[in-house]
Amino acid sequence: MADLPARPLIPGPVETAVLFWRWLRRMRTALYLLGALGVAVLIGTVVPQRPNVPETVSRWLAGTEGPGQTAGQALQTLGMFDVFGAPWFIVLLILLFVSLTACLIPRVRAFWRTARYGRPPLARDLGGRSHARSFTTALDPGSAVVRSRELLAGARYRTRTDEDADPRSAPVRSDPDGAVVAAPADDTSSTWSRVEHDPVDLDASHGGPAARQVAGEKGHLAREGGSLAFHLSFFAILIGVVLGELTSFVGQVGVVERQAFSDTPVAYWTADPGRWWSPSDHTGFRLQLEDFEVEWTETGLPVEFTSDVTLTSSDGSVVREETTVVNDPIVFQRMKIHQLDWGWAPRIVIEDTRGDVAVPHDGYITMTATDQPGVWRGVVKAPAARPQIGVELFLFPSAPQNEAGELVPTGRPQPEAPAIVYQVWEGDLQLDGVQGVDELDTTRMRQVARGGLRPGSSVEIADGVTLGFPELDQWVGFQVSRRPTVPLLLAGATVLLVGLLPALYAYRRRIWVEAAPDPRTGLTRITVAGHAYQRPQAFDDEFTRIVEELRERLETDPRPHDRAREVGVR
Amino acid sequence: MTEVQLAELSRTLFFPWTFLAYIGAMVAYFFRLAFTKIDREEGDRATAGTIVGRLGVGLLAVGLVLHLGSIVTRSLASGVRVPWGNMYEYSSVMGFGVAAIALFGVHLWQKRAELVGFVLFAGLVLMGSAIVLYTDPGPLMPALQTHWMKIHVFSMMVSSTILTVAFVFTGLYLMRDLAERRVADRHRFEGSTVGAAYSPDAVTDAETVDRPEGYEDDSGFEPRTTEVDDAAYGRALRDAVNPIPYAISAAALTLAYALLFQNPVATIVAPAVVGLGTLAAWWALPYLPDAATLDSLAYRTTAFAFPILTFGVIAGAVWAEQSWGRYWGWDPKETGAFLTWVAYAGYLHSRATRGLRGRGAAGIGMLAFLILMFTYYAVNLWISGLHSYQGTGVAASNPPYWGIAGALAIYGIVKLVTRRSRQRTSRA
Repeated sequence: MADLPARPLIPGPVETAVLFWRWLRRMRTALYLLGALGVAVLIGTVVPQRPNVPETVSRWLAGTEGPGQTAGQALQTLGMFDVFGAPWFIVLLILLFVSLTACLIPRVRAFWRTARYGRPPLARDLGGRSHARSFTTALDPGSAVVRSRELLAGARYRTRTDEDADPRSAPVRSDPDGAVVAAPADDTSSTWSRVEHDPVDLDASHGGPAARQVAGEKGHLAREGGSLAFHLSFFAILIGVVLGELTSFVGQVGVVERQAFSDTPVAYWTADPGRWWSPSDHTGFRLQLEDFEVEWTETGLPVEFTSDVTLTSSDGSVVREETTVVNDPIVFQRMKIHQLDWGWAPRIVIEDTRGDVAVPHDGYITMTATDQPGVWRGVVKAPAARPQIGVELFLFPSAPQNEAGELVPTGRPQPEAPAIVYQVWEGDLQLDGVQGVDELDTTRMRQVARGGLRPGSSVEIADGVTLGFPELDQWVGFQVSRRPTVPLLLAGATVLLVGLLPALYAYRRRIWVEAAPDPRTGLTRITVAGHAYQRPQAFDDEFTRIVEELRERLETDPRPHDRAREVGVR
Repeated sequence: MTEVQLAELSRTLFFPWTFLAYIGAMVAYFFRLAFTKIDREEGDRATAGTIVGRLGVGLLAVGLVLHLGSIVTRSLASGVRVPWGNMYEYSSVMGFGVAAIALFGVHLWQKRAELVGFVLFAGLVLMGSAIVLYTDPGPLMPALQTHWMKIHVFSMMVSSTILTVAFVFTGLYLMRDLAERRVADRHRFEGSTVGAAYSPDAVTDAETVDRPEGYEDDSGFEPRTTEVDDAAYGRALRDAVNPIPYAISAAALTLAYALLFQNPVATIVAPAVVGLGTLAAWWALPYLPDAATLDSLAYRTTAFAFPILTFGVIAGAVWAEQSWGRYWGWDPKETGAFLTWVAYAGYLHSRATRGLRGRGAAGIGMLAFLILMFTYYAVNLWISGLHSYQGTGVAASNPPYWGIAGALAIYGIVKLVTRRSRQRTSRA
């Protein structure tokens, strides 16, 4: 009692750290953390996340969708609209990785020791074990043990006989929480799984004097090694993800048919470079979209999207013509080019009495799909006109004319009878503020014209101002990306998968073969015992097989002096 | 044959013919369960049970052939593509997988014919959901026409199928374990010598140590040696468990999922059927293998599926990188799959955690399956995203939230009440 150190009621900082580290190492803690991770991911699955669907999040906050405005505001306050970027989620991941590290360090050390020095301990009382078989042989115990050892070693068991002693490593065992700790030097209780072992007093076993034994173990390295590989690969994945975020680039840009863009920092509609990505990492290649085709079924479902592009390196030395379809990105100068988005691009020309009015992008308006099928929307702004003109356009790829001459949209997406419906406003576009490309603020404008227009025609919308629709093209949204760590991630995932299989299916088992001379008959009694730590049914078959092979090896190998005994001379 | 005719043939083969074959097989297997295990003295009944058992095998085989025909004709009707492009097809193929595992895995390989009825039952519930989700066949969206899509969806489908079978084993284990424990407790308290005959850990073969799978050596499990009076023990098992609360809670959970379909027939049929299935599990308690065997089966089945699930998630990331240029976008389907993976990883870890082995781990296993079903049904039918299957034929979004909350509340209340009453009886 007097030997117990006095412990303060409130642990000091060092002791707290040690307690925390020990708590993190436990399997149960891993379960709690996994459970917390599960809850976080569940929330992030059910609640729309702002990086993915910002419009849905806005609607949830406004109350038009989801559980209502108060609930939406509550979720916003709790940060539930961006779970996976939230600081507490990162902390949870960090805790999981620390727990993983805390668990892996002792296990890796123990594994290394076992792999290098460890050999199975000898056993007492083989006959009392769950798997035990006996038979006799005429061989002397020494030869029997040597042959048994050969057989076991041939079956890839690590072996030890009673004549081996390896004092190099200390015994280890698992404590109740699953951590691996070293044994005190003087503890000889049977719960210790001794990597190293003092010679067993075989006189105490039923073998009697001059009994010999060989012990074999198999499967531990495979099972534990697989599990360690599986868990260590998480670190490779972590490095791959974090390093990947820092060194990657992803950019999106829309290109109209027969137009081009160059891989420069400013060319992209949206660009997401990693923190360590520098502008000089851009290759400057030029991509020209020659042609874009969509293949439709009869019922209006898209079957394939095909883009024909010409890629030119920045110095003009490499020129490639490529075709990309969905799921088949182009890789050019280590940049991956995906065809991700598409739309219609009618060319709109606005002329007033002085000539052409400048319209951004040379008049090619990238229309975006609306919620209704077969309806596309775009906005044309002509700030150079006096007064300023804004046009809201709806494109119907399929809008044939009925007998009354009206355009009747069918909702089909195939460009069978394309037409645009326009609404024109004049006034102040209010471009000095921030305005999206597809936004038209008509609060300071008045509507001057409405109507429909087919490609190749034009219409007068105000005094001396005409709106022309010379041609209808398409535009393609390309994503250009480079993610240098993808090979590392793939390697990590492979190791994870490969390590999982032995972790689940390899199993630790031991087999002991004891050869004891029987003084009455002069023969040797062989006792084979086995024990499986996991998968007992699988071990049944293996044990039976080993016993059969041992029987063959030890019983049926005649030697001159043995044969004399078998015949029963004495 | 035109594609329209093929689609019609596929639909008819599926419903009602495959359904009828499987239902007939399931009934036959249950009949065989009752009449070949216990009552060995009644020779005639044993023979009847064997005959009906063979009929069950035949019906199941016929059902598999019909089902395969339905899948193949459906594939032909869609312009010859892999038959898992939408929820109807996916659920149908899952049902086929479950039925195939029932025949080849459970009956022929593991020789556990007594469990086939329950596995078939789970398969039928999946196929029921397929009917509700029926849509006409059509070509795949371009984003779905890649090898990695086929590999990914196939892996997820196979692992989900195997995990469904594991779920059946887990559920049966929980009920059987509860019954066995209660019988053991009851007779330990009563202290009668008659109780010795009710030894819960009976096995006839003293040689083999049927230790549960995955347990570390120091689990304290002892080999069993005593014989037992089967019929009396069976009755005691049934008496030990009141199945009504379990049937209600299972039905309540099923109702929560069924409300996602927003289909009145599904809302009524699915919970009723699952409730009946729970009652059937209670009735079959004497005929089930012992709890340790069921737990071992559940673990081994889950452990078999887990690498396939892992591969499926990885293949999904490869597909995403190829199709959309990013391997992980925290899309609801991706996070749902990750959540399922984490849940099953939790199950595997719990098997190695002291205090959670057995019932605790099985509880986590049930939860993991519910999460798997959530990822499959709730994410597709309710939460939209890049991954939504096209053409589910069901009104997406805005399921009856109050109904779902109510169903979950019923589940919670039943659980609370049973826990209270269990504490009360153990104190007595």
